[in-house]
This record gives sequence, structure tokens and C-alpha cells, in this order.
Amino acid sequence: MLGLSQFTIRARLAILSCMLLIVLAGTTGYLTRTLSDEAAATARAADMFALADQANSARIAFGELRYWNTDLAVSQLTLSEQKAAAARERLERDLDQLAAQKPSQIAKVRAELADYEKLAGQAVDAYTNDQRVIGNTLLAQARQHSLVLDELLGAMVSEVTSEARVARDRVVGEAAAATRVAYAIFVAAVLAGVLLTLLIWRSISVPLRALVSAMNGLIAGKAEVEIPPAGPDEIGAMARILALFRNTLFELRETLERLQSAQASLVQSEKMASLGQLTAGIAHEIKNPLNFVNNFAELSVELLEEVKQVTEPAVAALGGPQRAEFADAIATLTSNLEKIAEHGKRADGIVKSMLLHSRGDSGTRQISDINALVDEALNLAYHGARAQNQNFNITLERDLDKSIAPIEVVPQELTRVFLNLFGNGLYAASRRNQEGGAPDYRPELRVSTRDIGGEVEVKVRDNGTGIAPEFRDRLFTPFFTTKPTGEGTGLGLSISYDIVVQQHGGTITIDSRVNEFTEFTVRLPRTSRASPARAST
Amino acid sequence: MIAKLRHLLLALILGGLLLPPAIAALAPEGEDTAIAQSLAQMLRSARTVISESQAKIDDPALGDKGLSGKVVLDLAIQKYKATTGVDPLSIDPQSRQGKLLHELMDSIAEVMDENQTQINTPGTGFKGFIPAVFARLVDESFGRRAQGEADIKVTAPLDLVRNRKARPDAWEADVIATKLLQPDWPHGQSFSAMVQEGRPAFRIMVPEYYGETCLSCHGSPKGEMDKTGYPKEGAKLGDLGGIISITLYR
Repeated sequence: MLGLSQFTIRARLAILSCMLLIVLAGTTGYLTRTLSDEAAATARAADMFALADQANSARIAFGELRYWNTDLAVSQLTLSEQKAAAARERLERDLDQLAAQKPSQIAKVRAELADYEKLAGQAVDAYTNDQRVIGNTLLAQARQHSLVLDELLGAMVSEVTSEARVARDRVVGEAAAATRVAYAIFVAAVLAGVLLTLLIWRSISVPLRALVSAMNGLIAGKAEVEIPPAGPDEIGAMARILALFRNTLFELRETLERLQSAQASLVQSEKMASLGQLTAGIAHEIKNPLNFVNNFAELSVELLEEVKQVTEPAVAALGGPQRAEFADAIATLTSNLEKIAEHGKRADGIVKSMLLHSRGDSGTRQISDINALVDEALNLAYHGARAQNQNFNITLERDLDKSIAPIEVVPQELTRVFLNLFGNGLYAASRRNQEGGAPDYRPELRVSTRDIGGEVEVKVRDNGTGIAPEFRDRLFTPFFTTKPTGEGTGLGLSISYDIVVQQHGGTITIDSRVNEFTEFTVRLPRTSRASPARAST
Repeated sequence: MIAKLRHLLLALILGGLLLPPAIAALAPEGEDTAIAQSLAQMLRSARTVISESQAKIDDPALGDKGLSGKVVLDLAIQKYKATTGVDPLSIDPQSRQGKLLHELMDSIAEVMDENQTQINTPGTGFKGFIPAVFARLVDESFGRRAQGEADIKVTAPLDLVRNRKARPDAWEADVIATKLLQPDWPHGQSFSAMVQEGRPAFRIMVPEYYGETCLSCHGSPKGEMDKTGYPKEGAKLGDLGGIISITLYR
């Protein structure tokens, strides 16, 4: 079948037709030759039978001659003489023809015939002359020759008939053999034809079925469906077209996926944008009263100190329990005011961050060395973490692609992105370490950069607690955080997303497995490619 | 014309230019001719009696046909007399003619007497005793009686001969072919000649023509079997059917 698939279907059908024609021509040729041989053999056998008939005819003619001679001797009728003459003529004619095939035997026959005729003629003459005794004697002598003659002719009839039968049997045998051979050739031709037809049918149907299956698979949306190898035949051409179709389908699907992703991003961006605007308005309205709260809290603390100093003589004059009660009230009041101030500052920080998130493009694009930005942010993040926890240790791995050419970005914004990502990674690794990971657990943070043509890729991978799948869709939503209250605002990744996607036209993706790793991948285009959503703001 | 040829041959022989042939063109003797014609007529008469009695002979219901030798001979004599006007019994039996004629009449009576058993057999129709057979038997009997004096044979053109004993000899065959079968040969005219048969002999060929009674066996359709089992010759009325060949030795 592999061999047949090298030919076109038309060529295969032509091969089948040619093979059948060759078999037909061969069979016809064989039968023609055999029939010709048989015809010649049949003619020879027919000649032999004709010879046998001739010999038999001679024997019959001689029998008639003998009869009429005897009849003539008795009846004296010239009619008998005429009959005898006619029989003699036939006998001579038969003997002449037999002499060509059996010359020696015919010579003996003729010799005996001559003796018989002579004696028989003399006998008839004797009867005619009323010499019956002499006639009887002569006729008896003639009879002896007639018996020999009859024996010779009978033997010749038997011999020639036997030869004719042998020739006939040979012809019949050869015809039967030829018939068997013809049947065998016919059966072989039919089998070969059926076999070749099946092979050709299979060489067509199998790849055609595979092709139909592949088509059905593609129609059903199975991109992994296998397309049969493209041979040089018509089905191969269809397979090539189908493969082209599949590739086009893949491209369309990828394009659709990108479009759907872009649509989701756009929707997210729109959400972010509207949320940012809302946040900015709210933050602005909150910030003024919050300033009052903070300022008056700080002023109240100072006033309370002044009150404490002013009232110190009077307090001293009080009795012990009253003085203690007063001091305790002042201390409690001071503590409350300090808490108001502390939480007010915290609220102020949140509001500032909210405002920062919604303030829009805050910098100018510059040709920057991405490796330098990564390195600087990593150092800041690490030392910040160490400042908060002196016992914190982590292995930092840098795999920075030195060949990356500087790209056009807003450096301070990207530094914020990297600080957020590195901070999160350090936090997750530290958290897993604190939660009592495996004994051989060693916190690691790996940072790599890579030039991938039109984009620059930055990967940040930690081996911390990981992110549960149910949280991943909300990671870039403002104020969403998995950290305990007070340890995160939930705006870091949201701001990072805004900077990378909307401000720089790049992408930020996440891959994570719980208690194994988390890897953020940031891709930044070499040239400015702000997102439509961003461009619209 | 024929007379001229005879005279020419005679002149050539007398002149020593030509040896006498088997058919000698000698002038026929009148007596021989008269004797031969007399014998032929007697044979014809007797044969006619048999021919006229054929139905009786072939009647299977009839035993004795009443055809003894004497009866047939008397009837033959009557017919002879009616034809020639001469009573054969009146011819001197001592004369050559009378002697031969009596021998012939004796043969007729003998043949009939010898075949009484055959012809009188009841229950059998055709008995093979027909005029031709009768004539041949009479001829054979006459030949024995007149041995050395005369022979009578009824012959015919070779293709019409049924019994090989009746085959013409060379002289007869020649006369038939050159004379009797010639278109200009006068109807009924005999041919005679003196020949040398070891000794001088007078030979005469008296033609006979098919009559109505003959055609039942020799007429048409040709090839059809007659009552004797022999194919008919397809002859027509008046055709030359036989010749009474008579030899008178000297």
C-alpha cells in the first residue's frame, strides 16, 4: 500500500487496468495458441478417423465385391456384375487413398485382391459356361484370398481406428489440460484482480478515512487531531490543504484567544480606571477631614502635654489617689490621642496610595537599562525586608541577560513594579519559612531577564507559600490582599498591573503552585505601546 | 451404299489386298437365311405364348396351369402358322431346316415339361419363369440338340443384357453397334453374314423391338424395380430391345 501511495489514484487505476489487460492478453494468447494446436491435432485425429473410415469403406466395398461376384456366379445377372464393378471401383478408390498412408499394407491387399479377382472372374466364367464344378473350385480358391484380404483390411481398420482413437484421446486430454490451465489462469487473474483492487481500494480508502476523520475532528474543534501524511497523490494534496486549514484554524484560535484575553484585559482596565477615578474622588474627600483628625490629634497631644505641665502644681497639691487618678486619665487620653494619630497616619498612607494609584502618568519615558532597574529594586527590597526582620535570610539569584539593549520605559514606575513583586516574593518565602516548611527548605528568590526580540522579559520566581487558584483571578483587583490586616494595602499588584499593562503596553502573568512556587512574568515592549484603555485616559 | 461397300471388299479380297476378316462380307446364302428366320420365328412364337400366359403362370391360386410342353408347342405352332402361313410340321424333318426346326420345337416342349413343377407351384405368385428365361432355356436346350450345326442366342445391346450368358460376343457387339443401333438402320431389318468360326458359318442377327408387354419390366421409370427385382431400363415402345442371334455352321 505504501508503494501504491506513491502513485496518483489515476495511475493506480491505470496500473489495475493494465494488469488486467495483460492477464487478458496473456490468457487470450495462450488460448489462441492452444486452440490452434488443438485444431491441428483435431485435424490430425479427424484425418486418422477419415483414414479409418476409408479402411472400413474399403473393407465394406470388398465385402460387396465378394457378395456380388458370388451373386453373379449364381444369378448370372449383369446387374450383379455392375454392382461388383461399382464395388470394385470404390474399393480401388479407397485403396488408392489408403496407399498414401499405408503403402506396404495396401500393396499386400492389392496382391491378394488381384488373386481373388482373377479366381473369382474365372469362377464366374465357369458358371456362365455351365461348368459348375470348376466354378465351385475356383470360387473356393477365391474365397481363401478373400478371407486373407478381409483379415488384412480388418486389421488395417482396427489399427487405423486405434491410432485415430489415440490421437483423439490425446486431443481430448490436451483440451482438458488446456481447459484446466485456462481455468487456473482465470482464477489467478480474478484473485490477482481482486487483490490489487482491494489494495488500491485500501490505498485510497484508508487515507481518505483518516482525512475524513481529521476533518470531523477539526469540525469538532479538536486541534490535536492527526492529519495523515501528505503523499504525492490526490489525497496527499487534500491532506496538505487540510493541514494548511488546520494551521489557519490554530492561528485563528490563538488570535481569538488573544482577542478574548485582550477583551478581558480591556474590561479589567476599564474597571480599574473607573475604580481609580472613584478612589481618587473618595480619597480626596477623605483626606481633608483626615488631615483635621490627624492634625488635631497631634495638637491635642501637645495641648495635653501643656495641660499636664500647667496643671502639675495643682496636681501635686492633690491627694495621692486623686493625683494617681488624674495621671492615669492623662496617660489614657494621651494614649488615645496617639492611637488616633497613628491610625490617622495609616489611613493617610492608604489615601495617599489611592491617590497615587489614580493619578495617571506620573513620569517621562526614558531609555533605561532594565537590568540596572531590576538590580537596584532587588537590593532595596532585600534591605527593607532585613530592616523589618534581622533574622530573615534568603538566597537571591540573579540571571540577568547582559545582551539586553536599553528600552524606553518610565524608570521610577517600573521600580515600583519591581519593588512590589520582589516584596511579595520575599514575603511569601519568609512566610513559608515562618510557617515551618520542610526541614531542608531554603527560601529563594530568583530574578531573570531575557531579550525575546521585540520584548524584554522579566521573571520573578520565589519558592514561598504560593497562591491558591481561587485567588488568582482577583490578584490585580485593588485592595485585594491575602496578607493579614495591616501588612498590606491590596494595591501593590493593582498598581503594578496598571503600570505594566496600561502605561507600558506590556503584559504581566502569573504561574503558581501552593507551597511550591510563584512566578510573575513581565513582558515589556521595546517601544511605547500604551494600551487603548490607557491611551483613552 | 452398303451394297457398294460389300462389292468393294469382295474386290479387295479377290485382288489379294485384304485378308478375310472375322466378319466376312460373303454373300448370305438364301437357304441359311430362310432356316434362320424360321427358327427365329418359332422361338418368337413360343415366347409369345409364354408372355401371353404370364398372368396364369404367376397366379398363386392356380395349381396346374395347363401349360405342358405339348400345349405350349401347339400354341407356338399355331402362332408360327398364323405369322408365316407355313405349317412347321409340314416341313420335311429330314431336311436341314426341318431337322433344326424340330429340334427347336422339341426344346420348347422339353423346357416346358422340365419346369412344370416350378410353374405349377400353388401359393407362389411370381415364379421367375418369364419369356426371357424361357427363351434362354430353350436356346440352351437347342444348343445341346443341334450341337455342331446351329446355335441360337437371344442377346441385346450390352447395357440391356440382364444375364451375362446373353452377353453379345465380339461379332454380335460389333453388329449391334455398327448396324442395328445406327439411326438409319431399317426397322426390323436383320443383318447376316458368313463368318469364320473355325469353320465357315452363317450368322444372322434378327432385331426385336420392345412391345407393350415388354415395357412392364423394361420401361419407365428407369431404375424402378420390376417384378423380377431388376431395375427397369427406361426403354420406350419400339426401341431395340434384343436380337435373336443364330449361327448355322457349315
